[in-house]
Amino acid sequence: MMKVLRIIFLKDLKVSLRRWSDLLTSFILFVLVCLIFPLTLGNDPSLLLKIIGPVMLVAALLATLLAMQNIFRPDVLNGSLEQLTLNSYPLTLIICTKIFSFWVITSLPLILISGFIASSYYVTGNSILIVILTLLLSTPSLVHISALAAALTVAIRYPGALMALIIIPLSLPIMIFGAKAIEFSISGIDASAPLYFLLGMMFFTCSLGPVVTAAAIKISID
Amino acid sequence: MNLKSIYKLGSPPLFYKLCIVLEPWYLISSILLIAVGMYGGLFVAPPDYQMGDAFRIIYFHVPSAYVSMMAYVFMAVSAIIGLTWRSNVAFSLAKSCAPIGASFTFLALITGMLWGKPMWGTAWVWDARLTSELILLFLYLAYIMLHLSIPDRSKADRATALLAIVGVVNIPIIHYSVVWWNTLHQASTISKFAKPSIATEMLWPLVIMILGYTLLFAAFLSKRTAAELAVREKRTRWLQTLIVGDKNNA
Amino acid sequence: MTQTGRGSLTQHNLQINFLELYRNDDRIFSEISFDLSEGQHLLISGANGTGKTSLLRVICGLTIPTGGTILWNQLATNNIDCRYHEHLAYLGHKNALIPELTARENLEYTFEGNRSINRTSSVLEAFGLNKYLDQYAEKLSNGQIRKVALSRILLSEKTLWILDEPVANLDTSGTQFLLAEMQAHLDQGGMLITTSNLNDQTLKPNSEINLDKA
Repeated sequence: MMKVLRIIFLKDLKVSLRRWSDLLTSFILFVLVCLIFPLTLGNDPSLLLKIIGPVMLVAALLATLLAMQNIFRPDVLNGSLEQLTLNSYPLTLIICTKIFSFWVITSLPLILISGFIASSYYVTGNSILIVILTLLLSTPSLVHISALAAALTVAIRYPGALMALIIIPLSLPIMIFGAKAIEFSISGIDASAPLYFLLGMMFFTCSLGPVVTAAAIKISID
Repeated sequence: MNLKSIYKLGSPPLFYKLCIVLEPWYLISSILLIAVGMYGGLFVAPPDYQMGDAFRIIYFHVPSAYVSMMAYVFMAVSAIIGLTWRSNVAFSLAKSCAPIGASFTFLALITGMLWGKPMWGTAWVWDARLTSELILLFLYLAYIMLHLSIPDRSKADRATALLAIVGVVNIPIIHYSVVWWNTLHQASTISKFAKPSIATEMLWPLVIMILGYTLLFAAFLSKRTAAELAVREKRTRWLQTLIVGDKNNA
Repeated sequence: MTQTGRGSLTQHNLQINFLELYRNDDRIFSEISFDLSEGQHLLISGANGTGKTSLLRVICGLTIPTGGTILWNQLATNNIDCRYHEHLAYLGHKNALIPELTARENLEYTFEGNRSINRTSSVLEAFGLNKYLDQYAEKLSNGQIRKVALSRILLSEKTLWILDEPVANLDTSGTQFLLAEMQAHLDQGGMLITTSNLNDQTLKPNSEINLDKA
């Protein structure tokens, strides 16, 4: 069983890397969204420190949304996903593996670059770590919610707007608490409460998300 | 034909007839209750010592907000039943729920803003409950849009059922995170929508209005569900005999 | 070929009762019933658009039927104890090859069965695929893609093969090899369900369902 999941994980990583232009697009979107605000608002450190939390999370949400449109679609079109559902292994675990490999490939780069972006927003010291930690805890939830939306809309030709309509209300708690965590840490308050909430949401979405997503996949390829 | 499919065919006609029979009763009783509640709320209840006569809009706002949330829960429960037993009736109920619930949500938003204008000076304040209501509207819209964009009916039913279930699990989380965010922003302001001890002559019209709105929802729901069932079962014999029979009677 | 995965004690058996499928209000098919035991071949025939593919997808469990039951060894296939999918290999119109992977990687993506190296190389040899194993699937021709997908079925060691127009896109030698392999599979106690739009050459089936008449 673990061997099978490892094969799927490595194959998905490989396939994603060979579709590198998609990944680069979502990465560039993240950087660009983060770039717009200093360029349009001006170079005022106090203002930038105030908006970095929401900016980071909105940018991460948009990048995830863009990348996740393609988590299941190509595999549905070429028929390999229906072969995975016909497998005797539980689909939930297979989906879980796929989502994890997608997280590694789409969200880890964002997390890695977020530290640099934070410092360009004049964030200093420990707060940079909090920014990274916030993204580390919130992106898994965002990826799982987006995967569900992608699975529900996989049979629709132009799913982008509908996916946004599904994802944004559902991911609102993560956005709120993620922005709070960054804001707290910058204004010198203990940020552990919102971070614990993000951790809780992460466990919640990671445990129940794949079950629902697997059910949605089975419906969509019907 | 085996027993199961006969049972399946048997259920929608029964439900259809039930809807048709109950709908006028719901409608009449809801109109009566709303009339009584409106009289009580607009003429009998004394003006609020702080807000004056403007507070009377709660007699429309609170019932529609209540029905909007109840409708979502009702939709999710129907969706669960539909998914578990593959019941066409339950899926029809869930599908019919969405536009009605969305309308009540819209009504709650409008009345909330009408109230906000004299209270806060602006029509929109990022009050926790109003914001949650707005998000509820988006959840309804997502459900409706998803249903519209999947052409295969049984597929659309099942996919939207999943969305409704996920939504109903998420609504409390969304609501409380909005409340938490709100209290952090403006810790001193008390929510205008919180009802502290309320005078009896103010309360009873509100209760009657809530009942009336619930029955109005039931009336709309029966009408829509009957129509939805009629569309889904249009090829079946029971509907054809029912309609032809109606024509013969008339 | 090893006999792993094939219970020697119990005879496998697939039983379909009164299967029907509606999409919205349109009837795709109804009242399909048949019984398939080891070593038997069922052919589903009919003109284009008569629901052959839909029927196969229902039998596989990809599509939920509007009515009727599918029993594998007397157990309903949606029963949690039913081991149906462990014995099932399906190939539809979509070849399920990921274009960003090479033919070899695509073959490895089927994780079930531990087939012998000899067997693998003989199948690939017969299909003439050996030269193309390290090419990306997107660079292969339709026929070669079909052959990779078919080799996956031939090497899967599953009991029940469900093949949607297996010989479509194949050249003469490929067709001959596939027909021989299907016959060998049946001789070893395998089960086979195929579709054909009447012009295809195929094995002589034990039973046939014609969707034109249904």
